[in-house]
Amino acid sequence: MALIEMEQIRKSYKMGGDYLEVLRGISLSIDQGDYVAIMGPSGSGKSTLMHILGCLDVPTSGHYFLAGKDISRFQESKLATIRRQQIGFVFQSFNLLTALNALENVALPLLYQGTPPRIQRERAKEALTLVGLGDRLHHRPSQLSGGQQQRVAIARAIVSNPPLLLADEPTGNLDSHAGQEVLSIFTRLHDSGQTVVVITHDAQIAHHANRIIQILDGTIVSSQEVTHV
Amino acid sequence: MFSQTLKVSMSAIWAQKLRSLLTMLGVIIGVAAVIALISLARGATQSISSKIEGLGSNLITVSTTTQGSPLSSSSTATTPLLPPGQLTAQEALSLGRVPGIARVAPIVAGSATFAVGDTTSSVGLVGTNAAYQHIMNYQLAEGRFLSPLDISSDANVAVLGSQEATNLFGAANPVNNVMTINGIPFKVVGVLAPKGSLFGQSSDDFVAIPWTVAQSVLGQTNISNIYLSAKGNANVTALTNRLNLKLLTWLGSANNFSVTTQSQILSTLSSITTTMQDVLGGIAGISLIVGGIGIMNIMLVSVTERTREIGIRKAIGASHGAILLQFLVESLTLAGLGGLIGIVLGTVISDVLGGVLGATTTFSASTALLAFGFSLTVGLVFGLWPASRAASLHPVDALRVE
Ligand SMILES: Nc1ncnc2c1ncn2[C@@H]1O[C@H](COP(=O)(O)OP(=O)(O)OP(=O)(O)O)[C@@H](O)[C@H]1O
Ligand SMILES: [Mg+2]
Repeated sequence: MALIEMEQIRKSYKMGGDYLEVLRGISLSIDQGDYVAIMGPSGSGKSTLMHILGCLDVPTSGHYFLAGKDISRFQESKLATIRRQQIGFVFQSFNLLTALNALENVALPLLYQGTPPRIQRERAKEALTLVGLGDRLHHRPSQLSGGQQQRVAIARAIVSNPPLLLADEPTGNLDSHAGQEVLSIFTRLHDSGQTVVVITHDAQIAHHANRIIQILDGTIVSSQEVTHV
Repeated sequence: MFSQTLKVSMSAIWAQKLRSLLTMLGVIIGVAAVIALISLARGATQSISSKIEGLGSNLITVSTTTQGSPLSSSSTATTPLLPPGQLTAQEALSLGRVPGIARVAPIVAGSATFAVGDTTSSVGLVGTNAAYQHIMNYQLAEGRFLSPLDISSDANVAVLGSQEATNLFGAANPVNNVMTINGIPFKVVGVLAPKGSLFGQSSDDFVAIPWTVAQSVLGQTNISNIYLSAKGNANVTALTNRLNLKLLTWLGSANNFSVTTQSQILSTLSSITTTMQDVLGGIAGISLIVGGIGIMNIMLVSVTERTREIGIRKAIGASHGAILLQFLVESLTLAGLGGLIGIVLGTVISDVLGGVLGATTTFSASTALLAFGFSLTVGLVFGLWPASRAASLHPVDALRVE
């Protein structure tokens, strides 16, 4: 069964008197355990699509089934619950809380799930170890390199084992070496059964995925399997 | 979850120490003011009421409100017939037969000039009798007080208040020395022990002589005041009624006299101090509200500054309630901390001020608790709007902010 099913998703913003239609009828389906890259030029609507996929925003029209449930008309409070339970985000600009150390940043989603503090720490430590930062638990974001910060962000995204991992240009602020590290973590997560959706405009990065969806001006122009050699 | 939220709030407050302190300042000053003022006021009330009680046990004062008439104009009659509205000495002394009255001291008061050699002073002259010492709770420092014989024999003897004794005789013992009152020589027979002052008025700078002598020295036949003491077991209300009735028949109108008991003075005093505390509390309340507005202002700034943080928290699953709680706890912590600092500061201020002014201060735990509760309420009320603004931010909009 498909984890994600989108039917004719439209999103428009009111600009002055006019409506600017950013997404113009997106329909797609992503299976559990899939690794999908969404590509497209700047301004084509990739981030807008990801915000809807990640329940940070709702579509103007259309249907979005996540794990079989139509959530396209959900209120913000219900969306917060879905984000808490089913989605992990990785952003281009890391978005770590600067006042907290790596361990505290990673434990944060568990805090909002009401996990007991001791278990929060244990699982945060496990997640950090998984991304190779078991020895940087008490570093502040400002004491970490960009690549390390992004790996902390990935640990935070997966610490509560969400079914869906979303990443919006996760390597956009990294050099190629750090970018490769991040991508290899994604590959590893996918290999262990994690559903991963990565947004990028870099074809090389997209080729790590199983499938590449191309969007242009708010519509899907192609969707092709990647053949790994 | 709550204890972790508290930790988050505390670290946010700690991260901006100076700003947090400035934010709390309004609440600190408000609470410190209320604590200091109220403990000073309560201390003052207690020392005043203990002094009033020290004035004399079961003291009842009768005052006439009409002016005394000169002796010459009414001395033609054999019985001293006074114009209506004035008390004679016989009438005053007859009050001693009213059931429940223990002692009566008629007062013939005026000001006179006292002299010893070249030293002169001009203070109050009190013409009275032997009962005065007991009714007013005076102790003797030297010699004796006026005796019944002094009164009946119109003796030119004087008893000095402690301060007046120092004024006229310096360090020397005045007893058995001679002084003049309005030029007439008097023998000093006693000096009273000091009693201190009340409402800024000293109880120690006067000279007491027999009332019979005072009438001729001051040239007046009427009695201006009467001090009475009630028996220990007397019903003061019934007693006051009986006195009122008698005085009404003598003096014609209730406008011509007043009867005051010590308990009336105390209850007037307590109503004054209650009003004073209410006014002080009100002023302090206003300053706390101003302090609350200060907290709200900073919390609004803080919400704006931390928009991105709020966006991140929401993206990883923080609910509306969790964000609301985070910012509410922060403003509550600021207000509560401000309240605690204010209580400590107010106690220190009232101690220091009490020491400087020589006043007693009384720390009141209930006032402190009330002030703390009020500052928490202020924190809650004024934290609600910023917190709900934070909680209502749209995650995508919040994340877009740099
Ligand atoms: N809140 C908004 N109000 C108005 N217009 C918006 C809003 N959010 C996005 N847009 C517009 O939608 C379009 C798509 O934006 P989006 O961020 O999805 O692009 P993108 O594909 O992620 O681009 P990039 O590769 O540069 O990140 C842009 O033209 C943008 O101006
Ligand atoms: Mg984008």
